[in-house]
Amino acid sequence: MSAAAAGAPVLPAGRTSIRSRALQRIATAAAAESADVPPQTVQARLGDAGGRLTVSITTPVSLGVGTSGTIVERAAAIADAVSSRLDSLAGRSVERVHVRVSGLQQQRRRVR
Amino acid sequence: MSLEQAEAVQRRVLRRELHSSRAGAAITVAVILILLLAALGALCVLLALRSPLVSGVPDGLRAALAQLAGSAPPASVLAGGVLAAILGILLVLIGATPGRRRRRALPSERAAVVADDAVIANALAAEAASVAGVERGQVRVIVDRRRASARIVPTSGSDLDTDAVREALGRNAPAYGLARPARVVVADEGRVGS
Repeated sequence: MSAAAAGAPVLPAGRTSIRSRALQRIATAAAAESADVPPQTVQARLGDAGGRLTVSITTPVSLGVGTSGTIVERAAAIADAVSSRLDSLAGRSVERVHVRVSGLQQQRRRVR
Repeated sequence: MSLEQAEAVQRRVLRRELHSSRAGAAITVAVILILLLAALGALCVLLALRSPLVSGVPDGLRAALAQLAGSAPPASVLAGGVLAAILGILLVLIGATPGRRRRRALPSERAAVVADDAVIANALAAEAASVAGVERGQVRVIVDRRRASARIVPTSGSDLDTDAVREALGRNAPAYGLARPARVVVADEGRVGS
């Protein structure tokens, strides 16, 4: 560990590959978080357009306490969240995100 | 053994490894010719001795030839002719083509080194995958006699440094016995996960 402690971390040999399943989960989680709905209600499909990553999200959005903006604005926020999360977590630049709002949910405060 | 002799041996070994042997065809043709000539020789001797074993043969041959002369040749003769022609063309091809195997000689100071093209393709593919940062399965390399070409399926949303791959493969080309650097092609469609 002396080499790593001395300066910049030395990367071990090898490569990291990220399966499409993992990318799809990242997209689902990011969309669910942004839409403020449970992840099970979100569908994310990943595709390729000329070597670029495309994402298609189908999700309900929740309305209620602490949410604001029109549905179009919420959808744009979801698209942005999905794109930036895929970039920051997996290092994939997203070409386009297609968001389909499948319904509205009443937000309920969970009792812990 | 002198240096020149050693080099001559090396050249011959390489040639034998890189080209397929024609010995099988040559031996087959020689055996058939020997059998035919031996039969002909035996016939001549027996005829010269006026042996009763072959007394009918000259007349029989003459009659058969006379029958063939006028009319169109029967099917059996035609088939035999076609077969002989095919066999002849085959033999000419075997004789005239270089019969290269899908292998190549690699440059080496000390020994005659030969590698199958599949081995070269594998090495290039591994190198390309590592430089491009994609899975090994996303690279397909074809090696022909003078040149290799690599086709890379990119990972969707990830950058692919085609020039770096081209350069890495080009650097290795001489060591892999390729006259020209490998062609690198990136597929239009990427793969979502890697």
